[in-house]
Amino acid sequence: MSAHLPMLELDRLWKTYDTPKGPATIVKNFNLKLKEGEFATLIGHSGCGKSTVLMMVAGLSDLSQGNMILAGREASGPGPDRGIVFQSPCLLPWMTAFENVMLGVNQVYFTASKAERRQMAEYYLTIVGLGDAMHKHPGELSQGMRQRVGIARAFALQPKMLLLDEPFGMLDSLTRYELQEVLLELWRRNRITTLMVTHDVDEAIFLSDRVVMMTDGPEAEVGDILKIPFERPRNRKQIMEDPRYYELREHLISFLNDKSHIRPSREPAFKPSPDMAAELAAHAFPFPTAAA
Amino acid sequence: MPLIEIKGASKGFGPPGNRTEVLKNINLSVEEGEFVVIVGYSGSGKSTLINLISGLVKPDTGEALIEGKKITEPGPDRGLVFQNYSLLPWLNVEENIALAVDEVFKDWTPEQRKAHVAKYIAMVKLTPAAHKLPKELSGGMRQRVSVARTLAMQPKVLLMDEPLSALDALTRAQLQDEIADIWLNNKTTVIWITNDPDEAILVADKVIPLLPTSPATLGEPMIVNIERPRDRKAINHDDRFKKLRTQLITTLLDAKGRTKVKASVKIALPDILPEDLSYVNSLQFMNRTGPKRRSDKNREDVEVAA
Repeated sequence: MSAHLPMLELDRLWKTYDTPKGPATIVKNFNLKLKEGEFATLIGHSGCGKSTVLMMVAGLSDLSQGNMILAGREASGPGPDRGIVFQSPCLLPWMTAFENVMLGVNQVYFTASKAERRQMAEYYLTIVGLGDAMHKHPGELSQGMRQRVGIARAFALQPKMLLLDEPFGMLDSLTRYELQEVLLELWRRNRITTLMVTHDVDEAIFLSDRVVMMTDGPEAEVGDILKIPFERPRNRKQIMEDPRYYELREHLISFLNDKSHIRPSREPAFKPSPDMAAELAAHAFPFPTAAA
Repeated sequence: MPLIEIKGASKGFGPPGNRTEVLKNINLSVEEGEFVVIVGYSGSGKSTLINLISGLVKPDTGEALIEGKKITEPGPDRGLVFQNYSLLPWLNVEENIALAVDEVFKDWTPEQRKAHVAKYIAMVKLTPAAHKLPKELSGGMRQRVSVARTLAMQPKVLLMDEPLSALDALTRAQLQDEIADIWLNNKTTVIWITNDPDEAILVADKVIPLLPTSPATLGEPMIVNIERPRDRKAINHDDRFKKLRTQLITTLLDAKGRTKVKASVKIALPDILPEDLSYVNSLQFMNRTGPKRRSDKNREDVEVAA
């Protein structure tokens, strides 16, 4: 793949459902380009359509309108080139953690030897910290450990894109911090382009390169984009002590508290932030003013 | 004299030889009217700690005192709120609360007790639901019943063991504010256990981290000097909040990091790449026997004249 093309390009994505009262638009005119190796987060209130966008990228939900280009090709339907981690890890309860990971590994590496496939699953399970527990069944693992299996399973397929749908939403805050470190550790070794959905402001800042803020649904659109300037590898303590950290946090929190109802496409006075203007320029897409 | 005091308490479980020490050398002192929150990881011994105070667990060494007297068994002077509400499913809201009130205030007239129950139902804003059964209530409403039942006993100290952990974020935020308000009006002493650092700073006067060393120990208390009532939106912009939050989270993470066992394992990532399964039926596998490899990318095809 040539270096200047984006890994994922979402071009004027719409999601509309037919209802007895006429069509209901959930996501409206959603544009986003992700570079190869970029980690982007979608943040917004519950029910704003974040997960709908993610499920469209995953191929689990059809596009009503618009185009989606993944690694230079029009993508449709789900496939192993996009690894997904859901809020609950969805492991098969009668298989061990190792067997759960092997399920996908056996599919996408079917030309490799059995030893190499096993090594693949062991490698990723060890890095997520399950070296000693990989032959346990999900029932014997804690919620946090199960989600580690889910993350290892997604990475072991070496997908072109990783899609994370509130992967730590069910965990308590301290376990969440630990798993964020695990995720970053894997990501440091293999920088897969990632799109994550969350409503945790701190998680978005700690993990991502760019945070895409979505307006309230229905007819959700991109409300603002924020670049996270911290160097990688990231250290939580250093980041929390960085004066910029609380500036970024305030930006996101004040968006969620006070500005998420503003629809840029209908607000004549709306001025995009520099990061958002750059994204719009990358689309060669004139800013949708109210007149348009 | 502090209301609650724990002196050098340790606690472990299991038979000799296969024993897990959970808490070690716990020293805690809580003044009357104080709102203390203890924050720690799941499984680090928080519930054991609160059970030392409630009297459900006895320390192996050291002692737990209430008003200078040794705690030996549970009693109505210490009200407990559990994560799972613990309501009797066949009794409605009013009857669940009356159960506790009738037990504690035996010498009151029935009218007094009824008025007392009604007062606490009103305090947690459940008057319209007073005759509903627990199964007809949402999780947040059930936890309010549990809080009302405990407060109605007028305990000297309210012990809350992760009271809001089973609730969704919005309901949790609402109940945090409500409980903080109720506390502001009653000034009952509260010891609250949680695993959420933000929740801790939002509601507490004093936050104490429970450090996940093995066995766990209490860290330095942090005093939260932010005026009440606290506004959960405005507090995010408060410098004292930011400072405490950083301090608390890094203390907990540092302690966790120190306990990590550093073992080095040799593992290698096999040099194989995933196959493109959307083209399985094409000819892409014809010209090779093994998998695609990362190292292949560095190889070149060179045509050599025969």
